[in-house]
Amino acid sequence: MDADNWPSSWTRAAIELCVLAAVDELGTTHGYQIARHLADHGLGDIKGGTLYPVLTRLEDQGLTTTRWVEGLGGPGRKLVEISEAGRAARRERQDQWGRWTGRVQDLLAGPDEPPTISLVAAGAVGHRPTPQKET
Amino acid sequence: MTASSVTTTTRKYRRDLVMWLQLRDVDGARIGQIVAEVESHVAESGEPPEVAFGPAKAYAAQFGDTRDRWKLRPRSVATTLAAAAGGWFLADGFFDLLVGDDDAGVPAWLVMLGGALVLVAVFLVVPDNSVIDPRRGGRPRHTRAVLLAGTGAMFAGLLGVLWLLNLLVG
Repeated sequence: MDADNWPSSWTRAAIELCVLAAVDELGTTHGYQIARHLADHGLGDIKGGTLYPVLTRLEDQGLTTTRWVEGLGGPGRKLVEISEAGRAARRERQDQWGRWTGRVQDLLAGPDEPPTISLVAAGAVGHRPTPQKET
Repeated sequence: MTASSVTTTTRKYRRDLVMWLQLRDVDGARIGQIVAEVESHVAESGEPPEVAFGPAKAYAAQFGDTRDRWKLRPRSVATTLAAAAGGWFLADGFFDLLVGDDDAGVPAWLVMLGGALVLVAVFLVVPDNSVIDPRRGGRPRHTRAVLLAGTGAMFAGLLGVLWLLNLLVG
């Protein structure tokens, strides 16, 4: 597997939050620039067929606003901006995502590794079963 | 990239995509958005649309009616039968009018009128999902209105010609 060729199920799980974060980071932006931003961050080659339905969902949820502008002799460009609701949603979802990935990481690390700091802080762990040693 | 340099591949993809989206009863404004996004993205990325968005049919399948398109639906069957019946009565009445006959006692003009009314009803029932391009200020291309006006004008002209012929012969 190539370095940036992640399983599509992982991409599906993370794409909405990543696109929302990209729109937040980039300011007024457009689809191709978002795709480049995600690729530059090592998330792989996000195709238009994946990206635009996500952008539509974000707009339908009121998390982004869009408008069309004339292209320089080209077919025009759809500009995307994050809304205030989008910024709030980004913060909330990013926090949730951090806790979720922390739990996954914790599970994968196994019982010998200490739990991640974020999990301890969130009180998500504390009853981790300790391995029973045979006597 | 200029509008005229839109490649043949993109034009064909656009045509196929519009067809599949209309078959899925996707709203015309939404179709315009989807098509404009494809054109804009491939112009920026330089990718062929099939590479960036996958086959037109598969991409269209993400939108609108997710049911199997090839299953017969009562509304589609009723609309098709009504259109066929309307066309039949219109033609039947027209030819009866030409030969100066009636249709089982019903005047030819009345048969024609009935057929025309059925066709108008069909046009009104069929969803108007003509493409609305967001880059043109969201102005719809009123396909259905144009179709109705065209049909009306054609039959008005036809009736005018018949009336003139009747005057000349009579």
